[in-house]
Amino acid sequence: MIVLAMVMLGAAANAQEKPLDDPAQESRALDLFKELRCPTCIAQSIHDSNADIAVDLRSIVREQIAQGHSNAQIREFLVLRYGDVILLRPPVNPTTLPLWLGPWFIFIFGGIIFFFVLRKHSVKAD
Amino acid sequence: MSAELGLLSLLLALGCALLQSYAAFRNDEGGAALALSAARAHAVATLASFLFLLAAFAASDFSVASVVANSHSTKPIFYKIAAGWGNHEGSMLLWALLLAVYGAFFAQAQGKQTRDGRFAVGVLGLLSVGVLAFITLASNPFWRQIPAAVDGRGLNPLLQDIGLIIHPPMLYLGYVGFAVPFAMAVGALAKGNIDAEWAKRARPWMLIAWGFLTWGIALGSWWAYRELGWGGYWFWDPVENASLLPWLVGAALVHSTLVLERRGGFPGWTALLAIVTFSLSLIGTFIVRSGLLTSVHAFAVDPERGLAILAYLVIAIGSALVLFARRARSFEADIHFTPASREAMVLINNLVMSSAAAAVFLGTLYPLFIDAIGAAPLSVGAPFFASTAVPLFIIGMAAMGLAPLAVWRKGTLMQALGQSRFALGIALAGIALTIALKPGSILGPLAVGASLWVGAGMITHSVKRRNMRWTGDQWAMVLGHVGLAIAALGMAATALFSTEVSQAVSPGDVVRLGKVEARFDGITGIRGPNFSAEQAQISILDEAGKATRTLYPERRFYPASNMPTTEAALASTIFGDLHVTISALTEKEGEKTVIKGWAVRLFNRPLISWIWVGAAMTGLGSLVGGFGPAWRRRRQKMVTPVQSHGAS
Repeated sequence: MIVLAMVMLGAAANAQEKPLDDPAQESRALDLFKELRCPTCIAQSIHDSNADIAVDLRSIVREQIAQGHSNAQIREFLVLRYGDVILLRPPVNPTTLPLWLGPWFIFIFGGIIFFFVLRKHSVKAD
Repeated sequence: MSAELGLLSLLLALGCALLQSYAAFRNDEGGAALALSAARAHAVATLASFLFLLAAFAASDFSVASVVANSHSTKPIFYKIAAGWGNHEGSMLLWALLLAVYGAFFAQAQGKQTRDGRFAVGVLGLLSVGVLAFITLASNPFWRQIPAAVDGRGLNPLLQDIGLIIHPPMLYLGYVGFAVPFAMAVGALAKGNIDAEWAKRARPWMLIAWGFLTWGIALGSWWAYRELGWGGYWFWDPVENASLLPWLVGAALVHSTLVLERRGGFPGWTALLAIVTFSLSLIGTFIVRSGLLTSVHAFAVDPERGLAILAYLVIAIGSALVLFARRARSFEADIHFTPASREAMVLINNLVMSSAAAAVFLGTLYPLFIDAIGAAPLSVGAPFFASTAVPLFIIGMAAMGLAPLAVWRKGTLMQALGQSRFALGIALAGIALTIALKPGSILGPLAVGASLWVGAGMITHSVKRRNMRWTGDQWAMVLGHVGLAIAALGMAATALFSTEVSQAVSPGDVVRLGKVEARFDGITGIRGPNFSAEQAQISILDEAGKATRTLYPERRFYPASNMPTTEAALASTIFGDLHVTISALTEKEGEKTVIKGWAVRLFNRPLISWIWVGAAMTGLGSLVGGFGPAWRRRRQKMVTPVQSHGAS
């Protein structure tokens, strides 16, 4: 937490940022900011960071939204430049399958054990 | 002088801890008495050592390396002292102190009667020996620096905050508290039996640890909300996640132990949870401190420290698990219950908590793993956790609402649901209302429904029992569950209905966010004890344009660390917060960076304070449940001999 905080506030400078005029577009931009990682920060989205690069990325995202690009197109554009590491929601692919399925595997596997425990310990209700 | 006295006390504590283990492992009455004395001396010596460290910090003794690295002569005295535990070495000593204190209390309460209790005192002593040796050899806060420095190198100014002064001790009271059930499980695996009687002895310690851990985590998040200036309260960064892991598994532990106490069920599983919870606490403290989680390479920077930590973890966790593997099979319980009984609900809780812990564990470590195998790096952030842990929690809360109304052993779904008609109505109404207010979202309305379901279920439960005498366990459940429902409702509302705006302003400009109008009146320079700040005056206007409230967010600059920080200003009501920050708009003019103007950022955070109110309540419930039996014993003792004092 401490290191994180230092990195977050390490950059003092922030250029002028103008929100998009259309409130619907601006709210789309804000939601997208929260899904994109600030590349120089430890665990921050570009929404939560004041680092120069985060400021730049915010203006790139706003620009592209203003030009009418879809969220998927913007993500694709940023992944081409920075790699998957830019996405805070990792893409689902063979490398990330254990990550995405792990918790549910435990849940289902545990559920099966739960079922057998119930059967073994079952008692008829009144 | 105080550094040398501190070191001497530390070595004395190490000796006492060794004696405590040796005497306790003798496993007879005489040994137990000696172990108790040693445990007390060990706690007193560690306390002395810690106080000598604080004295060095209070006196700004810049010939002590850790004071130089973490304090500064311009800090207010309160923060100077607090800096004593706000750094790696000092926090390790605090950890050791709390372990010694828990150990002394445990030895006093339960270290004599049973063979497994005596063994547990020995285990606690050994855990201390490891930590104290590590502190002495590899992480010594008393090392001198010759020649002495002229002044300290400050401490991160973000830590100059009340939230962060009480956050680490509270968190550590939680982490370290789980050492007691861990030692008791090891003691019982080695020398005793894991049964209802064991659960009755162990459960208060678990509830105390879990309650403090809940408070510690909540304080950390409250600090982040006020101090980091981004209107968020949880960032899913590795350090936060590390504290969440023992909390999740600890929640499973306090529930499975309840079944063990009431029905004698799940002894092996409960012992495993006790071991895993403390293991995760150890990993949470040490791996985070070693820097492994924030950067893979920090481990190599100080290989001595890293390897020592690793060895300690492997020995402590590994030997407990080996013991468990050898002995667990001998604790088989033959209990019977129906699929909708209280026991079954507790199993669902355990299933959900374990899966959620797996999600947090995987999400935290997977990027490291990917890095280690050399694949393309990836990030795991809030969106991942929101889409894995949140659905799991909703499932868990569905069972949580039903559980208190389900009867032990023979509960049926119809019986429990029949009692839940009120809760079901409230929950469905909440879901419908949320969908109406925010069409298109799925998890949000379900989370609102789940919170109301749990809260309303507890109301039904409490009304039903209004004429009974409530035990500590009863209070623990009602406060714990209602608190969680309140916190979850706050999280859901914040996630669903938050709004924000940021805007460049000149004096007199009005920033609008929904119905809120905020006027930027200007900036004044102010001076704090060890910082300078630009303070904005921001007036919140009513419909007539009159100022109803004035807020003063700041941008501070601490020369000692050459670092600007954001101080948010909050207008808090029970319905939500208005969170205001300012930032400077700068431009480079040649070499210099000059401030060209100011931007105001407004966040509207509905029901956000419910998160901390709820968490405080949950922690309180757990502590009431934990201290309850001891209070009752004490009151009984006082009532019997001296009638006149009994009323207190």
